[in-house]
Amino acid sequence: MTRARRVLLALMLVAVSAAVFAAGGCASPPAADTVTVLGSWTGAEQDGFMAMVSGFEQKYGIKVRYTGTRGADAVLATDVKDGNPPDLAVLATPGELDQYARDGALLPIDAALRSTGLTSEYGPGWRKLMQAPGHDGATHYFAIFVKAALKSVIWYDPKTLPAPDARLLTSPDLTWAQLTGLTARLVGPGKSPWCMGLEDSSSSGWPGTDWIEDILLHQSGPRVYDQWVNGTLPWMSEPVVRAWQTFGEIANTPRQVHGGTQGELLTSYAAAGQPMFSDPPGCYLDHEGSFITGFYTQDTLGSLDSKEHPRPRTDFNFVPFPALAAAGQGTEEVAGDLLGLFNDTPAARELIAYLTTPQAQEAWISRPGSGAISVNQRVPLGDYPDPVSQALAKDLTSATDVRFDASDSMPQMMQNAFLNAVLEYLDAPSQLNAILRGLDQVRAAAY
Amino acid sequence: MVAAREKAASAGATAGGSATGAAAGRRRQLSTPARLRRLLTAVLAATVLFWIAATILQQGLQAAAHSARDALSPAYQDAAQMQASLSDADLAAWQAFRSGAAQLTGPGLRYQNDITNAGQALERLAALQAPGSAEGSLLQTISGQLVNYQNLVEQADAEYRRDIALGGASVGDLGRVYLTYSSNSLRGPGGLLANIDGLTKSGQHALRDQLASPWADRALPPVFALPALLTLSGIAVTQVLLRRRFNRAVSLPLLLAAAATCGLAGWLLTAAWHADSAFATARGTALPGLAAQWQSQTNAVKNAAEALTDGASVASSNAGLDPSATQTASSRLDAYLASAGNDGSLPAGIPVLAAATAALCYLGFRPRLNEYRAGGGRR
Repeated sequence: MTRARRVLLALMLVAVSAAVFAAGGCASPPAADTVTVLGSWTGAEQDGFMAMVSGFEQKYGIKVRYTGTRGADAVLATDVKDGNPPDLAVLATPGELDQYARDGALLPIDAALRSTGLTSEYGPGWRKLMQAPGHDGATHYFAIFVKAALKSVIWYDPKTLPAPDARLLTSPDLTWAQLTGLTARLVGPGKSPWCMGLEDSSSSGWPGTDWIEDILLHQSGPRVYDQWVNGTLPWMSEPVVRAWQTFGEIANTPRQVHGGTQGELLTSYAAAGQPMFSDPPGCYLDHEGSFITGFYTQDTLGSLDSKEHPRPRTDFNFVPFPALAAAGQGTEEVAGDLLGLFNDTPAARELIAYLTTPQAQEAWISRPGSGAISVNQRVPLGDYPDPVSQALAKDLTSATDVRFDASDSMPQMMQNAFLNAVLEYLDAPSQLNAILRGLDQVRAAAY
Repeated sequence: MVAAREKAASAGATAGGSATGAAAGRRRQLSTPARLRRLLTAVLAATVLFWIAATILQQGLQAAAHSARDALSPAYQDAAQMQASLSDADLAAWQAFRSGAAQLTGPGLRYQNDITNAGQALERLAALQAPGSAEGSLLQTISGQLVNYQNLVEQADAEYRRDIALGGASVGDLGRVYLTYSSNSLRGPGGLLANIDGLTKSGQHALRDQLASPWADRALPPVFALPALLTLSGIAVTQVLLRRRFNRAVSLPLLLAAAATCGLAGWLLTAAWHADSAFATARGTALPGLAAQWQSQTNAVKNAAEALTDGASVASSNAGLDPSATQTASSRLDAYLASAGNDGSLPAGIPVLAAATAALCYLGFRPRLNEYRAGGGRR
């Protein structure tokens, strides 16, 4: 071949390559080293999770693509139905975990957890909640707890509560009667004792279910609570009816809640505490889980356009939910966010295993205002960023008699009916019996 | 005669001295047939180079126009359509409930049509995405959020009817509460419209970037036409050599080759500049016009829906989408994108004219080279 011909051939090859490139024939397949995660965490919670996985991304060179939306449960249900779920998804409840595991949509993660220190680092109660009977009938690990929350908590602003009331509220022997007496004194023109907001996209109503659960637990005790959660205690039974009525004494009584019934129904749970920090305050007490501190620190002090944000202990602190009867003393309600595997890829398994480690858990809980609590026993209390978070973590990890969020533990059908029933009760309190009879009908079908 | 000229030329060169360096010496040592063969190789190489360059430019422009017209523009328009349809669905639902029409019709026909349009746009968008892409994951989320939104509107409808049945026992207006939840799921942070807005903006940016791609740069076509100058230079040098050595004033094949090269270069530049101009107009006028049209209509219905949520009277909320206006703006953009990709028969013209140039050059050189072969070693 002459030199001239060689040059011509080379030019032709270059031309063909360039033409193929110009025609766009260089599309690359999707990267295998990416994990898709769907969750309900947005805002500060999303930032916390991303901080948690950044160490993983650096260590393994695997990218985590997270999508956060408040209606994540509905989105996940659609994705699973379409046969196109994300690799990993946050499950708000063990009820969801049970359902997806039974349907075979959720995949066992026993193998992924084998190399972790799960047995020594997580308490047996928490480990049990990560397991469920699978499609094959055998019990497997199906999810991990990314973070947990203490639910039996009442928040207040130490600066705005009158000193005698603050002393009473923080008394270790606070009773329900003392609390209701205190709230009666806080009623005044333009101000109500309680902050409350039930709106949360497709899960609206859960702050109300938390109220009823806490009342039932602290009024009738853990044994009755367990029967109710397991579907053996009817909704029309005396303890349950009494719990609803007690809730109604607050939620349905004029001037007890900021904004009245319409305000409760239309206010987001995340924004419900904002009036507590207004000047003058619109409400003084807020019954929310420990995660709410992540939203409090985004609220504003004084007025809505203020640049100052509430600080732990100075602007908000908590007291435990008081017992309504002797049977309800010394017990607390907890909840947690589970992460389950829907697409079994090596990268997704690596991430699941990594998220159980103290190193990963610390990345989220150490963020100021995160409101997250780790259930990994090896995470030291000193890693929490403020005294309020430390006190919450101490309460959660040292609690001897805890019960998981009831609505989260019920079958999904029962849970959905419960959420809607709370809203219907606020809308039409005189219909309580009809509402509870309806719930009993659902109970008969759901369990 | 040729031999005598060569001898004289050689003598002249020797008399010229040896101080011009080694390169000049090598040039002097080249015989005429060797020079002719080198010139022919150079002209053919330049022609092939021009062929390649013209093909690359034409293909690049085609790919850019194709991508803009068939992928990026539909993706952007479908996202914008979905955003507008869902904003309008929100308004239609509020109008139906607030006016009382929901008692008979539920959220209403306009709501149903909007949901159908949004669903179809979502399907088309999904078909355009590569499996596993970030946009694909976002579309999955949007799909789930859309189902959630519809469920909440249906729940609002059910509660609205329940409230009517309860009469005075209902104090909370739960139908309205659920409708507010549905609107919050649509308009709230991280909600359906926010996610679609992300798609719309990224789609618009991608289309705008594509319309400003290097292929659409006006300075690029002349660079790709430079090999044509090399071909023409080679032909000119050959023509001078033929006149000096062979006393040929003009070689017709070479003249025709030069004309073919000039024609192809002109055709290429005209087509490229036409595409550049269409891209520039699409980017500078048509796309912003369409985006403004979508934006203003979406904002109008969104603001009207928010006003109804906040208690404004139904009579004051006469906003709605104007499909004919967006259709006109969309057709204008599509026309420019189609025009940019319309290069007529240039894809066929490039190889034909380039091959013709090469063949004519060869025909121009062949008689002279044959003279030497026939002369049997005349150097």
